[in-house]
Amino acid sequence: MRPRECSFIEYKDFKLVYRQYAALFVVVGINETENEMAVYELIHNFVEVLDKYFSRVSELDVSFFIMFNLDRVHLILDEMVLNGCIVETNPNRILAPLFVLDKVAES
Amino acid sequence: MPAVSKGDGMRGLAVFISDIRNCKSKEAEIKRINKELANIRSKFKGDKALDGYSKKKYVCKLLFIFLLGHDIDFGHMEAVNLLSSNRYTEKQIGYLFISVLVNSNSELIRLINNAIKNDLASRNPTFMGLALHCIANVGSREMAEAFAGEIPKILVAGDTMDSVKQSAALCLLRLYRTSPDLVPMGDWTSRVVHLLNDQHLGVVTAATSLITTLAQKNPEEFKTSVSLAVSRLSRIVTSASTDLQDYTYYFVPAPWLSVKLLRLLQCYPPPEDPAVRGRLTECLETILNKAQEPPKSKKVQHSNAKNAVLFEAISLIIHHDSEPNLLVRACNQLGQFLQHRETNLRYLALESMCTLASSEFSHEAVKTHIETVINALKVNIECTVGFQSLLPPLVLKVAILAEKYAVDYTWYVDTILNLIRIAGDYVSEEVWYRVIQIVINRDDVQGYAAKTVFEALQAPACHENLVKVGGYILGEFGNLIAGDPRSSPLIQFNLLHSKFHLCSVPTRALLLSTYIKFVNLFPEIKTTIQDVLRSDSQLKNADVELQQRAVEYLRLSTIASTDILATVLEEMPPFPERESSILAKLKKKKGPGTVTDLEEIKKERSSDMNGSAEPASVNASAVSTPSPSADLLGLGAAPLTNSAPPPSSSGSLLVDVFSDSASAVAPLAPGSDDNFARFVCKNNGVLFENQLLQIGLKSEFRQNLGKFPGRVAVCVNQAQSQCGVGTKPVDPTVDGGAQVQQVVNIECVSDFMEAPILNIQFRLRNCWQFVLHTLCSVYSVCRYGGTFQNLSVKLPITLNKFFQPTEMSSQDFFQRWKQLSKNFHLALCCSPKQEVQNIFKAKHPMDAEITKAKIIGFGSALLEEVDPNPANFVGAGIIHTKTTQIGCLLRLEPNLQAQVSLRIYGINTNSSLH
Repeated sequence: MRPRECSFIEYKDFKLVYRQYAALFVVVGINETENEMAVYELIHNFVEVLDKYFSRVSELDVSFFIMFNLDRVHLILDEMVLNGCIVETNPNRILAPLFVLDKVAES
Repeated sequence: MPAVSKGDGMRGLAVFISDIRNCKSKEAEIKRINKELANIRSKFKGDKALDGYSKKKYVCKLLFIFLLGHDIDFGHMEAVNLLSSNRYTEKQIGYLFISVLVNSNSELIRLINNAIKNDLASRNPTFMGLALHCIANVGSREMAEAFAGEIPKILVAGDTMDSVKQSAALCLLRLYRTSPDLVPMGDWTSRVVHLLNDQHLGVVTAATSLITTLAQKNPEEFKTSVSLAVSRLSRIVTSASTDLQDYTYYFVPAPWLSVKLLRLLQCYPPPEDPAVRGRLTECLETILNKAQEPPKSKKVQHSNAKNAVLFEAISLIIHHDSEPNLLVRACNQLGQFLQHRETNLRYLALESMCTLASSEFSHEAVKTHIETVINALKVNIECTVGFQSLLPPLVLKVAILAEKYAVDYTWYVDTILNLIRIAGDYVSEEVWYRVIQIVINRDDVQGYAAKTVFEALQAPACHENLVKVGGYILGEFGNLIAGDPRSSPLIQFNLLHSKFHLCSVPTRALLLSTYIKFVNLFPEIKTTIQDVLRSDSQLKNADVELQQRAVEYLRLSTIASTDILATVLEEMPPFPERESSILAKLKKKKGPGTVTDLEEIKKERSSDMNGSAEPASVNASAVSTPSPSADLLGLGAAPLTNSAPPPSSSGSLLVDVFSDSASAVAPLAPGSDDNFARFVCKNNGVLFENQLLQIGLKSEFRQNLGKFPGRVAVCVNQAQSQCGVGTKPVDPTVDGGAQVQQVVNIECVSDFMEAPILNIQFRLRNCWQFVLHTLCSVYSVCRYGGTFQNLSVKLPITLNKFFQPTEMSSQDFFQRWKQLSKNFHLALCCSPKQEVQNIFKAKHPMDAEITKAKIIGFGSALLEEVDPNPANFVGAGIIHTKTTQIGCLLRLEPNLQAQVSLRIYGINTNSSLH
């Protein structure tokens, strides 16, 4: 992240918060009731959780994994954000149901 | 090829996705997609019933295609079928599909709701979770109807699992947002507040979001959450890093939860309980202290999370606006951020600074940072696009701040010129219009402005906006510096002219006007200027405006005598003071929290204080809407109603009185609101005017009775209209241009909220209207044959009309005043509120005479020499209603910053004062 760029862009009547990971951009739209910095870090938290789940893979392949495992990614996102509100940020708690799911599917 | 998804594969899906990615062109992709769609369609229609796995796979494929951007119009039925499966993965895909592709087919909705109901009742936490997620993400009205009763029960039941509680809380939030009427407050509200104490931080997070939204609409119900939130927050903030374990993010304890709790606290005023307040102050100080300590980790995530909490805490401090030392600390912290390396921090700091600027206590501190802000702009100019789009509103905000805090206008002029020099491209027109307005209005700063502008123009590379400002100011006030040989008229002219060809057309047009002003101010250089005007590049200029100006100015300078020239080119008169156009522009952009938002917050706050008024008998006027705040003295007076005769069916007070077809009351005519505001403090004037009709008003009020001989003047030439109006029968036909008088008697039964509406109905017959446009000599003819005109205007009957002025001595006044303020504070927790306090910025500079006249016009007696502070105005009166009498005391306290505090107390135990 070059120190000169600002991650918050005003667009129409809300704001965009974005974060770049190599070739992957994560963009979140928020209105003025949200704390911008908190959302900025939420993006990072999300990517970290994804990373933890697809643990064998480096950051570069995250975009591949999102594509091929869209349902899992949605599960993770649903655990973290609900109706536009942050509901859970603890990686272990978020991934618990997914690990159980995987175990059941394998058996 | 990266590994395919774990577990139950869906290899077909993976293959499909790889195919899509391998497509070389858009057409190939579309072809592949269509092939797949055809395949899926045939499978769905096929005779063989698909097994769960295949259904799941195909629905997932459809979802993927949809997310690629193509529309899907089938598959919903299959997805709904998946919902009833017992396998988690199939159910999940089904829910995912219907949440993403919402369908309004009512049959499907019924089925979906059924499936959800089954899942909710199943007691299986994962299924319940899925169902709740679906409701929360879709939240349609039908779902709300079906489930709004059940969700609160799930939320507060003791045996619900934590994860389900989380989902239930946010689900309830969603339903409340979309259909607030279907979610009534009940005894579940106190249990929800107690969720804040839950051990599971996820539950606390969800509950906080829910309470924040609910508290905004029902603050009384959730008042107890304040102390719980404060104690939770202080526990988090002071916890060691090992306590919260997984919720600690890069050594910052539960940052998102802290941010949410701080947001919740911003819904309420500062806590009254001193213990709670002390704890909160401690907590905020800890947060501010942590910002100063050396960071525990080098990672940017640590500082980001820490700063997120810090900015929210500063936001809360600004909102409370009650602890001076916290405010000053916050301000200094923001000042530090303004110079930080990271752009994000600078941006957020500047935004917070703007909100901070409107608080009472931090003026000095903010002022010292203005210079920093300007320097910060200098550094940021070369930034990338993302930031550049932020610059124009930033520049506007800086201009507003500078104007607000300028004690000395020479400083202000310097600052704005600096701003133009540094950020010239991003300075919108409003900013330099404003500086010119201010320079013209203030004699003392004109010479200084001329000199500064002259010096600034001498820089080799000047921004065009600077040329505009410079051109204008020198044109008006160049004579003030012409005495100095370094800035003689010829030098001024040459300086401006040297920039002439570098400028765009509008600037050149402005410069041409300046030149003709120079001809008037400095006759000695007249010939030089005339030569310039005469040159071909002006007279034969391709741009019409420039050519016209050059030709006309040249002619003017040649034939006009010096007197005429002097009259035409006289110095600009001072501009009338009106709302800064900058503020208006900022209001227009729906930007993030700005000064204007704060004005709205203040209005909200004062209306909060007005409390929930309960007029004795409500006149449910179907069409009436709250009047805009009567902005005399900036009184944010809440609208008032007349609760006299019982409501008629259509709701308008006067339809009973006026006979005739009680047809539907027309909505309020446009423009009726503007005049309404004027009538609060006076009794005569024109209430409403349009092309067809003018309603004038003359009223007198005595105690609780008022008389309203209204004038209805139809001033259309040669119109014949029929007015069906009247307590006493009126001439059914009124000739155009005639006046009809109506007397309306008003009785104030009790205190009231909203103004009554006057509804006029009339029909025009054979009306030919000639409208003469003198300017462009065009006759236009329009015919309103036989149309029924229906107009509604608000009658300006406000509570203060029933004020009777009372004289009082100073001791009496203050005795009652103190007693009332004491009563007020005691009775604060429970309404009725008896005080209205409004702190606002006066729109106009406070003129004592006008203020006095307005107070008298308002109806109260002006008590001279009563207040020890001579700048304050004090009034007293009694409002007479049929049932009660309300004594009122009024005190207007302007302070140096032209901010005015207006307090009104009423003595009446069962009324709330508006």
